[in-house]
Amino acid sequence: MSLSSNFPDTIPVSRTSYRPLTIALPKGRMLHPASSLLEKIGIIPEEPLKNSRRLLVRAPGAEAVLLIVRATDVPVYVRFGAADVGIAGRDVLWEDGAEGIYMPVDLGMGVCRMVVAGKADANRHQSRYRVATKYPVSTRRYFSRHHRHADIITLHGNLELAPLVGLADCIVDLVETGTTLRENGLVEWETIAPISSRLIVNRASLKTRHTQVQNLIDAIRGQVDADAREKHLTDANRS
Amino acid sequence: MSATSLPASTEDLWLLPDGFDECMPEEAARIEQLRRQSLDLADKWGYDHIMPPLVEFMDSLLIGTGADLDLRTFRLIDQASGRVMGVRADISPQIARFDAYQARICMDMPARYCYADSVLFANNEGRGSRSPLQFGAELFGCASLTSDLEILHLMLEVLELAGVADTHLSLGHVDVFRALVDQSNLSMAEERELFTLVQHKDQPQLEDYLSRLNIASENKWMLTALPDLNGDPDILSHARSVLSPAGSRIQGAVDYLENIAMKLRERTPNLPIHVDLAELRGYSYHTGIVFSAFLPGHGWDIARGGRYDGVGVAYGLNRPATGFSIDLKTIVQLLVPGETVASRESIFAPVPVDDIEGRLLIAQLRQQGKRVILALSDQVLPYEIRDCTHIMERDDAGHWKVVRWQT
Repeated sequence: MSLSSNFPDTIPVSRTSYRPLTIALPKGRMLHPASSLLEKIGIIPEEPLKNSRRLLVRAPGAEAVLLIVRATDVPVYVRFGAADVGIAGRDVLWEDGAEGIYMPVDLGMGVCRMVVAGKADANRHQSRYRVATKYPVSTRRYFSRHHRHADIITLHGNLELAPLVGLADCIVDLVETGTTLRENGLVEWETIAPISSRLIVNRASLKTRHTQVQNLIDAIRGQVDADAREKHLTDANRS
Repeated sequence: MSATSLPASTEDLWLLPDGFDECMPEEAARIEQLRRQSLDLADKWGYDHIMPPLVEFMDSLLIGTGADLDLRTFRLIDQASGRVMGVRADISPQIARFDAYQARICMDMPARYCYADSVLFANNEGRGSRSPLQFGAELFGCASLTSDLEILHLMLEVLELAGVADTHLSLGHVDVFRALVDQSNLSMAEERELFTLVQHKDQPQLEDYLSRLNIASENKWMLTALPDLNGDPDILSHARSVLSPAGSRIQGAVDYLENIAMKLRERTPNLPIHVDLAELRGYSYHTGIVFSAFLPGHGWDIARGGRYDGVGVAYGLNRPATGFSIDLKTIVQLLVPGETVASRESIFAPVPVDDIEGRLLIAQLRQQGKRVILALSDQVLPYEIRDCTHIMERDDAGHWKVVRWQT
C-alpha cells in the first residue's frame, strides 16, 4: 500500500463533520524549531517535514494537520480560518496588522531585532529618507511615529545592497548577529524592536473549538517555559 | 493622422471593484427570501421596519461611533450644499438618530426598530464584501437584562431561520476592561496601546508594557490575567475571584454575564456559549455586554451586537440601547444551497396575444402565485422552455390546460 493512498487531498471543510486541528507552519529557517516544538508536545508528523515536498502533512496521533506555507502567509491562513493556529514572527505579524488574530505565546525562537541600518558616514539628519525594506507597513509606521518622512522602496531580499549603490539612504531589516551588515560596510542606526516567533490563534477557532485550542496553547506555553528553564540551568552550569 | 485613445480591453469591462459582487438569480432569490423572512420575523416581535437614507452629511452620520467606522465610510461632496456626505457603513447609528427624534414625541417609551439595507465599506481589509446587506434590530429605552436577552434571542432566531445549524455564541462585557483602565488613570495613548495588546491577547508584550506603567500592581495583575479569562461560562466564577480586588463595577459586569449565560442556557440548552472578558470588539461605542455569533470553520463572526447606551446624547437624549446586525449575503453564501429558483414550478405559455381564453388562464395562474413565462414567438424554442416544469397546451376540446413538461 502506498503511503499516500489514505491521505486526504484537502481538509474536510464541511462544518458539521469533524475537522482536525489545523496548524500553519512557516517554511524556511523557522520550520525545524517550530516542528521540534510541536513534536515535544506530541504533535508528530507522519513523515519528517524537513525533506518533504508535501504542503499538507497529517499528525495522526494528535489528530492535527500541518500546513507548510510561506512565513509571510501564516497570518493570512490563520485570519481566514484556513488554519486554526500558526507560528509566525513578530515582524510578519506587524506587517500583516494581525486583525482578528490572537498571539498569546512568545515561543522564544527566531530571536532577532528589526533595525534601521545604513552607511556609517551617511547624513543622518535628513528631513526625508529613502528606505529600502521588505516591511513597508512597519517602516512607514516607525518613521511616522518618530516624525520623519520615509519614501519606501520595497525589495524582496539582499537589502544591504541598496545603500551601497545609492538606491536608498538606509534599510529596515532583521538582524541576528549583525555580520551581514558589517561585511557590507553598514552599521545599525536604530533598533526598532526585538523580534521572536509567536503562536497565533484565529479568533473564531478559540471560540468555536475552545477546549482543543486552549489545550494546545497550554501545552505549548508549558513546553516553552520548560525549555527556557532548562536553557537557563545549562547556561548557569556552564558559567 | 490624429491621435486616438486605445479602447479599453474587454477584459477590463468585466472587472468589478474589489469586494463588490453581483448575485446570480439563484443566490439573489435566496438572499431576498432571507431578507423578507427576517423582516417578517422581527415584525412579529414588534420591531418596526425603517429605511434610513443611503447618504447623510458626515457630521451626523458618525455621531456616537468610533474611528473604525470613520475609516470605513465612503465620502462624497454634495454639489448642492458643498458639504461632505458619507455613504453609511453601518445603519445602527442612523437608527439612533431616528429614535432620538421619535422618543421626544413618544415620551421616552421603549422602541423597537429593524432594517435590512445595503451598506458600503471604503475598504474591506481583504475580507469579503464591501457592500453587505445588513439586517439588524435595535431596542431603545430599556437598560434591563430582559432587553439584551430579547435582542440575543431574536438574533439566534434569525440565524436559525437562515438555516445556520451550529451557531456558537461569544459573550463579553466591555466594562471589565474599561473599569480597569479608568481606575488606573491612563492617558489616551496608554489606553490605546493596552487595548491593542489585550484585544490580540498578546500577553508577552502586555506584561512588558505594564511593567513600564506606573499603576497599582493589582491592576497590572488583573490586566495581565484578562486575556486568559475566556472559555465556558463556568469560567466566570474563576474570573470573579481573579478580579476580586476590582470594584463593584467589574463584579457587576461578571454577574451580568453569568445571568445572561444562565438565562440563555435555560431557553437554548444546546447552544455552545463562549465567554471572553478580553473581547473588545466595538469598544469605542459599546457600553455593556457585547456578543458575536460564529460558525465553526469560518474565520470571523457572522453576526454581532451589544449594548450602546447614550448613543443619542448628541441629539439631546440619553437613551439606553441594545441591538445586533447580520450580513445576510455572507450567511447565504456560507450555507449549502437549498431550494433553487430553477427547481421551482414554472409554466411555459405559448399563448398567442389575441387568445383571450389562454390569457385569462395565465392571469388566474399568476394570481394563484404560479410563475408563468410567455412564449415570445409562435414556435416553442428549446432554450425558452429549458427551465420550465410545466407547459400550457390545448386539450382535444380546444381548451387551455397545464401539463407537466418532460425534457
